[in-house]
Amino acid sequence: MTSPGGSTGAAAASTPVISVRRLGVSLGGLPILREVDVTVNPGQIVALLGGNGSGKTTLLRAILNLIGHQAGTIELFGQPQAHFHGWARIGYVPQKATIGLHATTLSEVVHTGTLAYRHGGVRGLTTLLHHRRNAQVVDQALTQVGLTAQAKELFTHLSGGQQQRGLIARALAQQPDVLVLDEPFAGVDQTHQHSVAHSLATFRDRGGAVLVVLHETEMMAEFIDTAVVLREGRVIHHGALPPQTSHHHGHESEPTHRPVGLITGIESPWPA
Amino acid sequence: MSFLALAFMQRALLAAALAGLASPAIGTYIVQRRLSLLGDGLGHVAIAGVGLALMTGTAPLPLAVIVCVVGAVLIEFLRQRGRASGDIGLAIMFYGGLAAGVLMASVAGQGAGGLQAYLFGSLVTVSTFDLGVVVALTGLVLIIALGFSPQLFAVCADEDYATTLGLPVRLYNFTIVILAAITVTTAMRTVGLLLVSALMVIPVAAAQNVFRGFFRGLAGAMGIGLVVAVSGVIVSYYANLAPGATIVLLSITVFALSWPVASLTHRRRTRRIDDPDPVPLPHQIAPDDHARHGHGPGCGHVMVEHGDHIDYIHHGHRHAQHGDHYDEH
Repeated sequence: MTSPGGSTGAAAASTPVISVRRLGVSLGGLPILREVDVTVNPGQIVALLGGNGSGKTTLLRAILNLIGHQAGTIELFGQPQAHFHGWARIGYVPQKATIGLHATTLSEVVHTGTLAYRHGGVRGLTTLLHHRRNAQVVDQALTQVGLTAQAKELFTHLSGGQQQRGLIARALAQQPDVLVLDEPFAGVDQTHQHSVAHSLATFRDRGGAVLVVLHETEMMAEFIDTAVVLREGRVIHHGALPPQTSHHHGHESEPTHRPVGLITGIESPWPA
Repeated sequence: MSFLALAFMQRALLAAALAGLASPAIGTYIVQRRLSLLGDGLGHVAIAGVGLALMTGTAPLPLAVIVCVVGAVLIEFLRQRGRASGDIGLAIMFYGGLAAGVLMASVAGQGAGGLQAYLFGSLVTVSTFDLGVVVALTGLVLIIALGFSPQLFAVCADEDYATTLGLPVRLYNFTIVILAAITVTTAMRTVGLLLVSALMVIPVAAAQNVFRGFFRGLAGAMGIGLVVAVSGVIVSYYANLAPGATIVLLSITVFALSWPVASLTHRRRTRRIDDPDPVPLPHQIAPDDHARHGHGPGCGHVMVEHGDHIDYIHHGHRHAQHGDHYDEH
């Protein structure tokens, strides 16, 4: 079983996986993010919460260098983003709705994750020569998300939840130290949300870090270590989820459903 | 097999076989990126190169390759800039290429008729020099398109994800359009510039109907392309038809034949993939306003088939009978 390279436990002592300081991002002249601070440590699940247009996805894309930033700093594994080359260590799981993977099997989709690591410094043609090793990694990743039986199915024939887990498997095939996910529950029915949440919890329990954009904390609440709440591009909360929604509440307890409207309400429900 | 004794037929067959292999190979990436008409546009741009060659009295093939590659780089540059004007820019480039080609051909005293062999293909025009260029360039296209297939596939399937992997996405995007430009131009003698785009797209569509997965589809499309290109040349020799048109109509025939095969395999496939949800749906009882109204055929509520039972749409909810009460589904 692949396990993330990050150290287990002693999270506070080690270098943050992601460290964002006073980040400012403008898109088309419009300020989207202002003075944003976010820290993700190894072995942590950090949830990025906020309403539509609060800047959650923009923050994710800025961290991944898919868009540039105008102010502040982004450090990845202690290195400035501009000088960071270990992109294989960051497993990106986009919203499944944004991808058109037609005429492609699940196995082929997951295989693209193995392109992340270099074999002896060369990528190019040598990827084909490492097919057997890559196939093992893909098989492990599919096992971790419980989709081994669907490997040869067309990606577009899978259910929403299976597609989402497939994209998580693709990121796991990178053998990453951190997973970065954009609304992994969007368009996934409730029954499959559980399995997605457990895939993330398993990854965290093996020492990996997780940064996940959520629309609502339902399903994930019991796994979230730190919640970062954005409103209009600013961080309005950085810390634990309130007691009634954070830890040690099983499925059988009171509903953990927390609509976004409440999170982003004018009167903050968060403890000072 | 008397046609094999003719030198021009040997050259035409080899050139067609290479076009039949390379066009669907690069076409698979272009279809994956949903740019199916890119090849058509590049064909138009290449016409300007042919016109320029006719006007200056140089060999058409090398000049057409150069002009088409330059056009392809411009097109990809426009696409990456993502400007709203990119679409208009493409249209201007495509029709500008066609118009400039025709204009330069008429300056050369040949008119549009002089271009015809390049637009629709012509078996007797493949010279030994042309064949050398075609073999070299198509070889290059195939080596890159197959050798870097995992990377090119990753970029075409999900550009953002490929970027986060640290892949040189811009370089691969330029590679794809340049390879497409080379393929379009090298196929102009056999299939023709106006028809080669069909050979990039139709075998791919047929193969994706029959074979499951990107790489099987890639191999299948190359196989179909090879068969229709070679048989198209042979048929056009015996029936005295335009080779490009014959090849394209043959590939459309293969595509039509792929439908019944596809629907058969699809039916088998969907039955197998139909796995039940691992966790049962929460059992939620509908509010008890059903004492006065039991759902049944003809109760006035819309009936929806749901697995092994019928749901009734009731005030925006789906109700299903369960013993003495109704469940929300």
